[in-house]
Amino acid sequence: MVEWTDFERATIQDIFSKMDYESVGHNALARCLVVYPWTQRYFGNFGNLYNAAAIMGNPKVAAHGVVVLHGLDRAVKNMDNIKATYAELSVLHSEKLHVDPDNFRLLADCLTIVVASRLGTGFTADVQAAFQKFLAVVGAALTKQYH
Amino acid sequence: MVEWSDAERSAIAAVWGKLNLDEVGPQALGRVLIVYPWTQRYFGTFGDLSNAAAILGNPKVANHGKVVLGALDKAVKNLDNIKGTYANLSQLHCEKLNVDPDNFRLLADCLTIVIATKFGAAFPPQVQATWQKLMAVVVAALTSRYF
Repeated sequence: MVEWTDFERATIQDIFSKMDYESVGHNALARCLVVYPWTQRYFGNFGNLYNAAAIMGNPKVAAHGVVVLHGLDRAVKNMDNIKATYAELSVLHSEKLHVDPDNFRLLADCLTIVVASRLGTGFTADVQAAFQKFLAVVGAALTKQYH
Repeated sequence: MVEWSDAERSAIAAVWGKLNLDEVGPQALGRVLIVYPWTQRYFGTFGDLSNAAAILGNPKVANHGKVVLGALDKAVKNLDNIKGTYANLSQLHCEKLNVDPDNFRLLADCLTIVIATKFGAAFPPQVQATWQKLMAVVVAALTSRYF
């Protein structure tokens, strides 16, 4: 089971309680599609993803970014049982969506950059460490049901 | 050879021009040592690295951060020949310093995060994509002499 220090728990709760899920979710997913273009293969029915402007302005990208952040919210609210919380989501991503689990890390990296750019100096090294640990645990939980 | 579009060249110059290397170097290296603690193994002679505050206040860390960013400056000024520019550095890191090349990516990631904290909304997806391309080319060049 993952051990969380008080600082780590407080940091994760603090970041997410102040977060604008719509904006951050949209931004993180859009960045993923721009910076790692092969990820666009999972969104064939999203319409225009031809360039950064199209991706940023695409309403399906925006909507799906919010879906992803709300999924992340479940881990925030169940930090002591992320693996079980994500068991079904893991099966979904592996068996239905066929998402290469490397992509969880890419999205996590983009989310980290969005949060860093919003928090500025408030995104200290300790906060970064806690946030990246949280996202690593989430990635591992989402990869758990792959075989 | 790596192709850089005019837009990419100016984006890199714009980002680099706004960075205070003496400030950003120490911050990026400090974050690596804090967020990925196993990297401390390369800095056994640096003294106190026992916690985040110690690392961020450590003058040897600060100095070495500046050295690293100074070397990155050579890449920015030689975009069309980063591999040649870094041939000796690559050999040094492999044969003398025995640095696992995975760590180059970790430092690149931390530098990207420091830039995001400083630039906020001025680090949009397209600029992030260009910056990460530069980081990837630098990492590949530093790894090129490993065998």
